Amino acid sequence: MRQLLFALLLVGACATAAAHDLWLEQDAKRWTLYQGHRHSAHDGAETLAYGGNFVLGAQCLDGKGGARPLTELSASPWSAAGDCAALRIDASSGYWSKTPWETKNVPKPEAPGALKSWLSKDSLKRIERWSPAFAAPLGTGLEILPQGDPFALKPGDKLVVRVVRAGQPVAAAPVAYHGDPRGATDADGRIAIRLRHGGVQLISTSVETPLQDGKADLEIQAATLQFELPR
Amino acid sequence: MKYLFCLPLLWLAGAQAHEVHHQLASASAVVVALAYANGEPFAYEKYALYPAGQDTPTQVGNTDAAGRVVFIPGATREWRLQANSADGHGANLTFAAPATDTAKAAPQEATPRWLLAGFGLSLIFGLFGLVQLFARKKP
Repeated sequence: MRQLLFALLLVGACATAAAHDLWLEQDAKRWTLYQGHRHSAHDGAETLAYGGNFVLGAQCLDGKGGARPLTELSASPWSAAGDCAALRIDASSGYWSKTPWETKNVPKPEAPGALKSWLSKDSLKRIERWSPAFAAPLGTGLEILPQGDPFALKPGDKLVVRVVRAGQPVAAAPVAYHGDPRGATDADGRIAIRLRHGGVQLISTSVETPLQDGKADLEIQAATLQFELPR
Repeated sequence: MKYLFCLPLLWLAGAQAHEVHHQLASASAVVVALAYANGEPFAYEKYALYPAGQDTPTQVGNTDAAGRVVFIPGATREWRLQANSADGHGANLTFAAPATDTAKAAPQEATPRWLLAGFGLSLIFGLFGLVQLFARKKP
């Protein structure tokens, strides 16, 4: 091609690491984990299947952040029963390697010619009832902390959240609302997100760090905060 | 002897089935550049390009190292581009292609196949004629 007349630059097809959303649906005391684009700002399959070893762990928490019993019912889709004020899930789709021909769900040594490789980790926290305890980290991984009661807000209001990892603020972390990038955190890990609608609320972030395990160049850790407002 | 005439045709058919010709041309094209929200190119990922409203793609392949899809829209204005990575990223875009100049074909092909075939046939007929000429001169 000697002449290329037009260039359409389409940035923002999706958030950096949050390829698709994770969310929990509740039916009575049964929780089910879904992956897909049902609540996304961008296109994609409504739900996407995941393997039985996707979920690495789950925590059911009471209003003080203490552990409550959780009975796992199925692995794919993951579902469990429990009376939780908040439910936290840790998951991983494993190692990924990008070659000029395809992106494969394998570690770098199994993908000759890999240009980029990463270990993908996800976490999801659904808050069902507000407690000041949920403004503090519940684990040691990447986490989004609401800095006030999100259930007191309505569409159009702003929610201040704080992104932390290992209890420390994460600066310059991209934060998306339903997959739509909305900005980056400040030096204290804070950002204000305007809630655009009622119903399910999904706020997500991701962080890339170098990995030295010989299986991938990067670890991409994504975290999502979920809560629900009246429609 | 009469089947001799079929040989060049068989040779032609065989050549067309196995040989792929090439043609170099300069043309105006549309470039769609795909990138992640952080600006990283959506490189080497699979895509399918459809004229709007159709189920059969006009073009399929992988984005280039810069995350680009390059195509010549011809008379079709409305397009749908579907691009997905195996780990779940993707875009499904519908857009109107900007107007481009009509493709200017500038063939730079080697000797055309039809010319070679004609030359071969002429050679065979010539040799056949010579054989007949010498055969008739003998008592």
